[in-house]
Amino acid sequence: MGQLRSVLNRLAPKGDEVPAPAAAQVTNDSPALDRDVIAKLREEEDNLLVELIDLFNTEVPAQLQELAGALARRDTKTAASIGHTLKGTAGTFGANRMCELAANIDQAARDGLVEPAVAMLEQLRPEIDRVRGALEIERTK
Amino acid sequence: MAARALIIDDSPFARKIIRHHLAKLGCIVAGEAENAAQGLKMFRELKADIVTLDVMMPEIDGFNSMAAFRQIRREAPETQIIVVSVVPFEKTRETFLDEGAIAYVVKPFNQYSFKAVQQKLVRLFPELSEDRVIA
Repeated sequence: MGQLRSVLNRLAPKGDEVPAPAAAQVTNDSPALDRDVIAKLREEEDNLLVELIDLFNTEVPAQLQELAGALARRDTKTAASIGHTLKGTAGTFGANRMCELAANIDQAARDGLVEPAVAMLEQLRPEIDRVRGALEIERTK
Repeated sequence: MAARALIIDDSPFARKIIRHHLAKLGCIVAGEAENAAQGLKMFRELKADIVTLDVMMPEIDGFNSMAAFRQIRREAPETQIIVVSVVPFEKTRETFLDEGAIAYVVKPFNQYSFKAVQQKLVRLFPELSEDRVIA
């Protein structure tokens, strides 16, 4: 992915680079989920929202475990890849704080900063719990 | 016969959402792949009419999405490729469109993400319909 990222950076207009983690404004007090994003998912037929929540519950714990393992063995390439995936997962639900934390882990791992990434992972865990709780509430609506 | 689609994306969430939108149009989603190498292999087996291709996937054996994109264009230029990306830059978008992609969809998806793609696909494949009602 690193090679592709650099190709994409070369393709981007001068001065641009692949988007950095979202800037602040997303705080611990922010809602776990973006209501508009959830509302749009709910409008889709075939129970798409419920299927995505089910997928969240199976995929994310496994990815967290893989991320912790990758950081423990200082495998920053794998850690960055999982951080990137978690960022995308968060974006699916408008989980902005989770998205920001995952993006920070992706960036730290790409910079080879294992200890900061581990510290961020410990911030990410409770945020994921918060998102999971919010999703379960959405499931019952 | 309905258009057959292949989804190449490392995110199971993105695959599910893309599948949902293609199925809504009446596409048959013939397969899903998690990386570019697997995607090219499945493309050769399935002979899909439509491919959605994520451009930011982990490389497998040094083979990335751009390589898969160009290979599919070479082997089957009639295949309609929709590029999916987290990279929102106009230059990147133009590059893929210049090389033959029919659309460039930026993730995370929103309510507008698939509208233009659906309209294009309906024009290209008359058997598809935006108004299709799922039974």
